[in-house]
Amino acid sequence: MARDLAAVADLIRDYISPEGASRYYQNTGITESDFSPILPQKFEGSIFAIDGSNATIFDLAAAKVNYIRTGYVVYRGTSWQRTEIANEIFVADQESYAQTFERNLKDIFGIEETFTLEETELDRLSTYFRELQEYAALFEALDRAQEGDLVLYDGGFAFWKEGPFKAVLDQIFERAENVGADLLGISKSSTFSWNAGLSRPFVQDTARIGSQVIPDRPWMIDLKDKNISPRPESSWKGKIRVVKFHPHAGRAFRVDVPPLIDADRALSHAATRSSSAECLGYPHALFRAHREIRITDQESWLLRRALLDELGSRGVSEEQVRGFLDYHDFMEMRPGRML
Amino acid sequence: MDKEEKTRTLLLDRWTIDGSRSTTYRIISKNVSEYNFIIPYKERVEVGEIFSVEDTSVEDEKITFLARVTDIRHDSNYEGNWDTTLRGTEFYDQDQIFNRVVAEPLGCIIEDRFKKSRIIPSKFSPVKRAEAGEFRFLSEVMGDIEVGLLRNGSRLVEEIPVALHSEAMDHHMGVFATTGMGKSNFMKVFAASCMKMAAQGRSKFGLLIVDPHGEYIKGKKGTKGLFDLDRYRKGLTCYSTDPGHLKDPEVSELTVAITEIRPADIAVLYDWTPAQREALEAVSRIFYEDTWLDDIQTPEGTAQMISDGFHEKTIGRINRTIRTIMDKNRYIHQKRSSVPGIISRLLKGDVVLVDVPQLSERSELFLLSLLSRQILDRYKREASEGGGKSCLITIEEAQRVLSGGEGSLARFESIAREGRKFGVGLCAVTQQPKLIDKQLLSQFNTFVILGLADRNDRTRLEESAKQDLSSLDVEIQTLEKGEAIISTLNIPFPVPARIHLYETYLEELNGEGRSNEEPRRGAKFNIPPD
Repeated sequence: MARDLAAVADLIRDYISPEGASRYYQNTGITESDFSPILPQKFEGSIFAIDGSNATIFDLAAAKVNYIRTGYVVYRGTSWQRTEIANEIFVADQESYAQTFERNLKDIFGIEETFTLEETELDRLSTYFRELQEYAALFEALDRAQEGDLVLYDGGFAFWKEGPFKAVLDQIFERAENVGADLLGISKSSTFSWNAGLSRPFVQDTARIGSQVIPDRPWMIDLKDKNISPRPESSWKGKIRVVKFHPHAGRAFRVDVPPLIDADRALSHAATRSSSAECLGYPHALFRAHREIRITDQESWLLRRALLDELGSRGVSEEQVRGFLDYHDFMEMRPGRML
Repeated sequence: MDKEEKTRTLLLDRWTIDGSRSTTYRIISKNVSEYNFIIPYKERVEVGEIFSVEDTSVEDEKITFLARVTDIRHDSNYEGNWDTTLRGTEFYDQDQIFNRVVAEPLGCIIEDRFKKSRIIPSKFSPVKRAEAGEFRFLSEVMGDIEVGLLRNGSRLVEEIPVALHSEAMDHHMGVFATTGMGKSNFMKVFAASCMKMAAQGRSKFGLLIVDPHGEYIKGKKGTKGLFDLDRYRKGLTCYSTDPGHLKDPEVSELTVAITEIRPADIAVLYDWTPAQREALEAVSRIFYEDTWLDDIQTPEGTAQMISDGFHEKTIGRINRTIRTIMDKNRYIHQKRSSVPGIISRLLKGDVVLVDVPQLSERSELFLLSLLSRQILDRYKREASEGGGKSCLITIEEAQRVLSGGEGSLARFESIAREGRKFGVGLCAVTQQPKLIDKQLLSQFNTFVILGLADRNDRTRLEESAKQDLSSLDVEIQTLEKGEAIISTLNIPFPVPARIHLYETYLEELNGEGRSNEEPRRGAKFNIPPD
């Protein structure tokens, strides 16, 4: 076993140990001059940061009951102003999801079209629904924003643009443009990789090499025409960048900049507000949004208990519940009263 | 996001969180024996402060919990080392950084009645600094011997005097403080209140103070003495060996009749060999108890002892010691004695001050031992006859006689163990309670703690107190001069107090009855002098 683990550790090391910069430059098509410093600018406008979270509270295999929380925080300068939160229950049922999505699209965005997911995507119904709710929060935040404000969305835009939410994103980008607010999609994780004989994590390697090129300032690099995968659809008209928001931070982030947004100004403002002690190098408003909007394990457990109690009060027996639970859940259940 | 309810979705709720929904000054945890709440990190709370927690979660059943701050900690909603790096100096979320206040429940007030609490306040119950009205119940449980005012942290609660119970005095009292923290001031305040009670005919016990430093009678180093309490002077009886003090007609000369001295009084004074100790014990058997001191020193007496099997050198050592005692304690008289007068005054409920300045430590102990024995004997008789007042014997530097070891005096130990049966209590004054025997200390039901820097001293008190003092460790350590924690019978929790400054209290007592105007009490308090 120890020998097997040693082999696995060697394998992992190949992914994460520093790779030579010359090979990186050669294989990605990136050059040193692609890294450009960001000059943080004085910014006293409002920042809106949108995030979402979901937890399955009842898994019937054929359908999942999900607890979904979305919302946004608002900062003025470095001062937190408020947090807007919405909690929803979504029943992810492959037979009836379309109706639910269509109703939401119509109610929130005024979009009247048939909503269909690829069969391969049906397992991710709750993810799609959460995404939709996050867009709803973003849409509302943009409505509250004023010209010059910064609106930060936790996640990317480029790869969703051609999906079932194309029309939604079009409306969001249009609203951002109309308001005159700077909109950025900042991803906490990224699957971007570059070919080094194996799929090396691109953002992390870029963070290391970029910090050698520009060690004392925030910086960014545009990924247009670079040799990385996956590549966004050609229809994506915005920019994709890797950005390090603070020189002393250890991480860089993938940032999607929608079309018609002044990327330099928006990134400069974001860098100005990424210097908090609490989470250095990450836009602080997103940090707080993540903390305040996440659903904790304790919370979802309590909600699950409350739901089971409600079932019990409606005459549903414990045996019935157990019989319908996903067998994983059944096996994980502890002895004792459930309802 | 204003949406209508949908078929397969349900908008449970939505809310806006802003600064108006803070959890500061609300109970956030923890259990029946410890409450936690948070305060903004820029606000201050003191260890020892008492807060009230108002729980109205049950309709028509308002409960006010009282809790005393025992600790204050830095805390935040963020984990990690965000606050320890040089770069981490720019705080964004000041609302997420706070101080966590740990408080010990004292009890709860339901319909104006205080009781120990077996429940916890509802989560998020509001917390605020307790106000005078919430301490009103304490006025009802306070005793009759006023010593100070209630203190909430550093603030005085002027409306609530702190007073000990006369009934608790024969259950022994300890006064503990590092040098300069106000022991003498406390004793004078205590004695003054006792004098007032005696003068008004309300006294329930007599107080004996043997003062080897001559500081109580007229004060010292700019302080006032008990004689300065003109208004209640008749509650004080004073005996002295100081010729200067004896010029005052109200001071009587202290005398002890030679016939009152017993071998046991001598036995406590020196380090005797087993043979010498045995000889001393035999004295009562061989001689008459009233004349043994003279008899043993005669050739016939010595011969009698030798014939009883004791060595001549042993008898010689005892005789030399007796001569030394007689020589050094000039108050020993062939016939006259103040002792009956002292005891009768104590039985009457007076404060009796025995002023013996310049007396050596050994002589002081000898006198104290003799008086205590006589008092105990008399009170035993009184008890068997069904009554009399109680008595409190003050012992300065009590660790000398209550250590429980070789140096301990059996007489005081027996008073500590049995005295209360006969109404005789000890008032042990010491700056080193750690040197007092743990079992003896556990007999003490009233602790007046005036600031102790030594951890071992505090631990000893925590181990022996009738009320739980363990959570007050930091507070005791940080008491200012004149501040005290008082743990006593009939008062439901250890009470934080500011002891009156004697000189101020004196002024107030002397002024009683002269004016209808009530003096502003706390305002006059100053830190006691060294």
